[in-house]
Amino acid sequence: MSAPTVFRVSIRSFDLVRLAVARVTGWVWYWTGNLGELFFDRFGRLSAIASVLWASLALAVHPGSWTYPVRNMFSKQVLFTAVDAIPAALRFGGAVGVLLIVQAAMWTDAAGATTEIVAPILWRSIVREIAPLLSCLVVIGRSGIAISTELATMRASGEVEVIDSMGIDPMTFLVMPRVLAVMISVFCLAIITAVTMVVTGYAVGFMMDAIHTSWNDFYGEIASNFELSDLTFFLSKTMIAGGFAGAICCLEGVNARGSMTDVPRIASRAGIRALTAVFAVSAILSILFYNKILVFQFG
Amino acid sequence: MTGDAITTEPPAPQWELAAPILEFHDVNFKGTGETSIQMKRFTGALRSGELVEVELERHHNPRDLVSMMLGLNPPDAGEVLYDRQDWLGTDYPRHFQMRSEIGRVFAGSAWVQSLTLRDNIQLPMRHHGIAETAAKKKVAHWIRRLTGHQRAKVKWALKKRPNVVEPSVLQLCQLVRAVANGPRLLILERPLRFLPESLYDRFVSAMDDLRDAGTAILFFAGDRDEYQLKFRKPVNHWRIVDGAIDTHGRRRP
Repeated sequence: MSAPTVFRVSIRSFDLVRLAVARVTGWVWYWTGNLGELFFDRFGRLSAIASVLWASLALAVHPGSWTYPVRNMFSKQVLFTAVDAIPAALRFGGAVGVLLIVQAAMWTDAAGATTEIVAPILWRSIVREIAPLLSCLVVIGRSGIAISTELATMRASGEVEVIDSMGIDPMTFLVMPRVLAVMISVFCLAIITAVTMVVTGYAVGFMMDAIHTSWNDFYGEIASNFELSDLTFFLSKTMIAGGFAGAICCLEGVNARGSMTDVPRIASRAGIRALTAVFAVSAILSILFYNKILVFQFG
Repeated sequence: MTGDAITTEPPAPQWELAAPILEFHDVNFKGTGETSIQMKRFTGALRSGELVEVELERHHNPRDLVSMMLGLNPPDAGEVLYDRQDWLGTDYPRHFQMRSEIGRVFAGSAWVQSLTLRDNIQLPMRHHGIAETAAKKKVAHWIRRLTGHQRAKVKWALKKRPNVVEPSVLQLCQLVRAVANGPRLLILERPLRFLPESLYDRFVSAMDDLRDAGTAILFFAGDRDEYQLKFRKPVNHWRIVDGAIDTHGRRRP
């Protein structure tokens, strides 16, 4: 091979190596950039939700915020989100209670075990996990999406601007009462759901002959498993998960851009994000409180 | 000699001596829409008791500009002051307090659709701590004052939500809401658009009385109806030249 040919080949090889390095570097930069963008996007969204939640609580403890229109808005929202949702919570609680308690009783019966064994599991799974989650599902499905739809419509049609122009803080008038109402509603509905699950589950199980103990024994087994930490957990879980759900739905609605045609898309996105947040908050709180994910112990 | 020169000058109009309510210093503003009114290094002031009329072409939309004046949108450059205070920073209670002293008649959508008209009108007063009875009295007074033969229609409409009420009645209710709490600054965006001509005199008389009480009025007049209005002198004029507002203007002949 002549010297010029060797030179040409080596130059070409060098070009190929340089091209490969450039491509690899490009890909690394591209993916690093994407990851960074994703991180900042998620971090920004999370901090926005936390800000709305914090601002709502800060405004709520300030007596001057509770003007007549704000009180009126809050009571209407509680009526819609909690009181009007009781039938839905009863239906959901009843159905899931039957599924859970009857199944558990039938399986323990088949295994030759007694209700004493299944009662603590039932109690913990209902109070710690299922009732808060079910009530969150009811509130988000029924009210959360409605809240984001209403606020997005108000934003798109200029109503938020009208409220702002009159010297009324949209955060105080529109967001704070809704976030608080959602928090309180999730808590109240979770209690109703838990009670409904236990009562309906026992009644149907007893009728199907899957549960052989009396109501007093059954209830006594469940009540004897009650701990103070359960109450703390139940309260904090429903309030925090409800707060996140309310804040996300309000934030999505208030941040709406564009025209009325975007409103359904914003509402469905708010519902999905609120549900995701509720599941995430639920799992994180479970880990923090019991060093468990759901009801299972690590290790 | 100097003393003679001073004595021969005509006395300044009362509004020129009054404190500025709304001030603009070198403001640049573009707005978001194609029909938005712009500001290009605009400097001007609106004083207590003064009425400034801005004549609009049919395509002009003052909504963006007015929102900027109220601190809802920031200007691209320059400074806007209300009662010598800016709209900057995070002192939100002060900003909301400042806005509560400003009455506004909106061009376009102006109502919270989920509330009745009465609730809409009384909402700002209730929120800012005016007693229920006082708020009702003020609203009743301005309804008597502004609505004339339309009073029965307006009273009927107060119980309804805005989407079922006809535009002329809505316009009257907007006027009532804007003036009910005795604003220090009144910004009117095409306030006569749907108003019956028979009520123009009542409108003019109400505006003049508000000016006597110290209210500064910025009147974005439409392109047709307002020529017959006879406000108390002096009336100052700003003009829109090439889409941008300018203080060196006068009313079109």
